[in-house]
Amino acid sequence: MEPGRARVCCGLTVHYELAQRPDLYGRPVVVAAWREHVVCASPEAENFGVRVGMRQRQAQQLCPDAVFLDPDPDAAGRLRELVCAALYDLSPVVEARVDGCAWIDLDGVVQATEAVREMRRRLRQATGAEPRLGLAPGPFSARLAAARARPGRLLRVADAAPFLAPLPIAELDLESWQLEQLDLLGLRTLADVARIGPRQLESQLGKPGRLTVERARGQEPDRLTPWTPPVTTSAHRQFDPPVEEREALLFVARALCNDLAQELALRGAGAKQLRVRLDTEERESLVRHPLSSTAELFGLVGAWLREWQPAAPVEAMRVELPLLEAAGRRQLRLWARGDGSADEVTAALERLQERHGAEVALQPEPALPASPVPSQRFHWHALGASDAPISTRRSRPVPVIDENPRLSRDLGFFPHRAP
Amino acid sequence: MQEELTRAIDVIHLRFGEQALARVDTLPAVESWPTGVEAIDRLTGIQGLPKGRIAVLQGRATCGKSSLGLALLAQATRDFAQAIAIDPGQSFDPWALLEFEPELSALTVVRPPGAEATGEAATALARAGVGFLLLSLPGRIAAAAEPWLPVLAAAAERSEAVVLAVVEESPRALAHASSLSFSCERTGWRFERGELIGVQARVTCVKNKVGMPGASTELEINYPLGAALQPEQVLAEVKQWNQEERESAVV
Repeated sequence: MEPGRARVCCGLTVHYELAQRPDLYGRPVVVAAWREHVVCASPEAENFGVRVGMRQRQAQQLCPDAVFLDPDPDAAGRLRELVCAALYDLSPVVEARVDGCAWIDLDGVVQATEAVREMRRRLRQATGAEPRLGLAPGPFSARLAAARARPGRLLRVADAAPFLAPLPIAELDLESWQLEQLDLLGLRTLADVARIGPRQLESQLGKPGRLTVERARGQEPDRLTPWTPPVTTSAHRQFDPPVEEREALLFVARALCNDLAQELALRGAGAKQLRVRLDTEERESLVRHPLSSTAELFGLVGAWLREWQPAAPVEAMRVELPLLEAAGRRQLRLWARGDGSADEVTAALERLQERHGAEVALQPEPALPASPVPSQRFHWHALGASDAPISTRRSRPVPVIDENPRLSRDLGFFPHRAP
Repeated sequence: MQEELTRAIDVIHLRFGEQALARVDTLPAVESWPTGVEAIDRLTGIQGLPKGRIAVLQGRATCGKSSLGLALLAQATRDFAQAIAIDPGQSFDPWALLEFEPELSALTVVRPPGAEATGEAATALARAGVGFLLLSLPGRIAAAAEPWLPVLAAAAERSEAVVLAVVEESPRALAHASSLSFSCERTGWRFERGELIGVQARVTCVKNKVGMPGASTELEINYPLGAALQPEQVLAEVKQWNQEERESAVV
């Protein structure tokens, strides 16, 4: 770790379980299942002595006016994914935890100040709460700095060791028995812990003892675990009762495509493969151009649904994007005359080819323009296909005038000037 | 009275948005795309075909509308990143375009298999933001276009695509959906040294939502050099016209 260089930014918001109900911000809230342990509590509830890990009944006795919510780990996990996705384009190394901590590594980021400002805005947008920000040489000191910043403000720590020294040992991520043991050893602050040798504390606490000393010394032994965007995503809807109207299916399909497009836009990704499942039936397609907008996704899904004849009323619809990649879009309207939408047009043509065959979209290439035989004048290439030309089908045979002496004689305008 | 009217307008704005009711002088002006054919640009009143609207070029066979459409398509291939000809009748021959010096790399020809697929293709491409869309619609396809024309009009309006439909006879739905309609009528053939080299046509603006309708112009449309390929119908028409000319001279 390079000393004296703040490169990790931590954004501290509320626990993502609490963020599910932003309408309860400012009120005592406890998230705990019936007769289970407290998962998290709002600061207002903690003022009454409610702590994470205590029994729900005990929390109820301490703070009877609190709103008690059932935990929803799935929703919290989704929010965590959303936060990671939102921060991912600020820095390639991003980590977020459901307890409301999110880090980005600013090492190598060109506009670090701008990234921090954007991080604040995105965290506020995702959780509805103003984050507290800490910038420090590592994740541990950055989190502690953020905890001491005011909401919406950034606390910058250039040198971790002097910042950490006066802090109490309760800030260390240790079990209660380990904290008690440190207390018995007379270690009250991080400076006390930093003074003893790592091996000495390791002999008392095991491996966490060594890490604790290194953290207390500001050596930042922890590394961020980079979040990697999932390579697949999907959206589904359950129907109760089952649906057989096509219009209803189209309506739901559009909503699902809209959800997926929003997610793709957030991640800057596009779908290379699209799959639709109606109960047990499914259709899928590989596309050359990544689909990313609602119109692009629904263009394909809607076209399938319009011609699909499900065997029975549909109980569930699932739209899956099993293969994602960078959307690779150019900036729209960068050049005049619609060049910015060229990618979308190509994608639309590819979708038409998916539905009606490659020969539906053709590009002409001059072959023998002077030939009297029309079919020899041009080669037709299917859009996006290899160089091999395809034969074109004409709806009716076109008469070639030099094969019809009667007409040329009667009208007297043949032979014509050579092209 | 004025207060009630203002209140009613406020309610409409609140419920349906500012775009639902707007003063004429606050509406954005229609943008135009200069076609390169000055006479046509003059007819529209806005110096070109309107962007985001459907324009129609209608007229009987051999009146020169297809040649005019091809001239505009060639200009579009030079002006736009992508110009697309939708050709459900499979009658499009790029050779006829060469005279107008098109940029062939910007041209794609879409040949949908039926009326419904034609609408699907036109709508999808307009929605995607293609620069210029030439719809060459045979009569049976044009007659069945009513379901998708409003969708196409809305898609074109959003993406500001220039849509030009070339039809023999404009059905009601297309006439209704279009903002600009030209009627093309052949007034005579053009001969040079006894050879047919083109047609004389009168183009009249019969509908114009973006300017004043009713204007007309005379065009001389030459066939491409080396046009050793003429549909039988042209030949029959020329023959009949020659006969009529002879008879009128005798009289």
